[in-house]
Amino acid sequence: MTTKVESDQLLVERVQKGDKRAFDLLVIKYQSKVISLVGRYVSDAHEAMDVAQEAFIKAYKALANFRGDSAFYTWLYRIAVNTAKNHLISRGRRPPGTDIDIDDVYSDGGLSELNHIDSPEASLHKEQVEQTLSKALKGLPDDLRTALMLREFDGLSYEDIAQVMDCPVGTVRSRIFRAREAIDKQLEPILESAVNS
Amino acid sequence: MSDKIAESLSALLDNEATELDVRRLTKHMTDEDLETWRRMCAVKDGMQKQDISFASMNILDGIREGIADETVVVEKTSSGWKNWVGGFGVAAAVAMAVVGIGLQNDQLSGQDNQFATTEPSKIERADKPTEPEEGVTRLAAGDMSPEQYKALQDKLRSYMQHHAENSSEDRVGDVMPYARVVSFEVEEKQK
Repeated sequence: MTTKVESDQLLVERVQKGDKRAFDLLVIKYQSKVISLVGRYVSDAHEAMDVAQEAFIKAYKALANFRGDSAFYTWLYRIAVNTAKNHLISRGRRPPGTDIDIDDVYSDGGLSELNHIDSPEASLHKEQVEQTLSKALKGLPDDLRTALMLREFDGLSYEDIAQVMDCPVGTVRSRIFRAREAIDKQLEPILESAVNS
Repeated sequence: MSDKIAESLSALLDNEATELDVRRLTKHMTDEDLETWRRMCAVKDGMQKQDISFASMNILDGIREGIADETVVVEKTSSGWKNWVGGFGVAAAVAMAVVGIGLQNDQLSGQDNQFATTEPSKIERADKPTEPEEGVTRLAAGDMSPEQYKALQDKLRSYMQHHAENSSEDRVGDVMPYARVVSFEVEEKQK
């Protein structure tokens, strides 16, 4: 029986073999967390994006030395914190005395810490997304909704969900994918409008 | 976007992706698929009541530019002492094979027609071809003359010495010479 390898570790190993596409996936997966974290140190949204970018670039360059002793995000988190602190020091500003805890990155919502240029629109957009998401979830067929909610809200593995729903693991995987596909169809116009605005 | 790609992305999001999923994604994913991945991550964050304000921000282009001239390549190599032990282990295995064959032939040498036996050699060669190459006659160990056998033993001794030197130079990765050592074929060009 093979030991399950974390998806992040699989991606890291691909990057370490020279596959930059794998790094694209990691960037997109963690960009919200990193920008939000950096936003606790710098007040401007654009500045936070620049620092987050710098953090990811540093992480990429250091990946050859990443041994997998910790989770990838834990390692990335440290790089992001150090990059933010160095950024502040280089601009003659003093970093905070204590680091933001890795579990508290979203505790206040990073948005409240940043001078978001379009704050009212961003808030409205966030509300729209939440409402559409809620509606999309309710509109799902029962088996798809159950599988997705067991995964997202209860944190069950595919194997556990398969036992709960008395179906093969492959069916669970397919149901969750189709649930996400249905939600994506409804949310795509709203999420894309944020990109284009 | 293919369903297979989207399904692999979904599994990746749940930490349930296999190596096959990851290979499929990195080989066949388009920028459109990356946007789907972006939305999937945003939806997941939204369901977890996390801030999705930054999900649509594009910092990827700047990052790609920043790493354009860099390539991370980690070659997994054994440490120095492991190379030495590995080389010694292989050499020891070959030596044991030689001793085993020597003992076998010593037993045979006491019999008449020691090399004229019609019994096939008991030495199994993994690389034995099914058909002989053109212009080459392959002989089984049991068909060898004493002179041919001595020539083979000299050759083997020479290989052992050569590969013992190689091991000390950290060249365990090169296993082909070792593969050659276990072949006792005598290639005799047809006259």
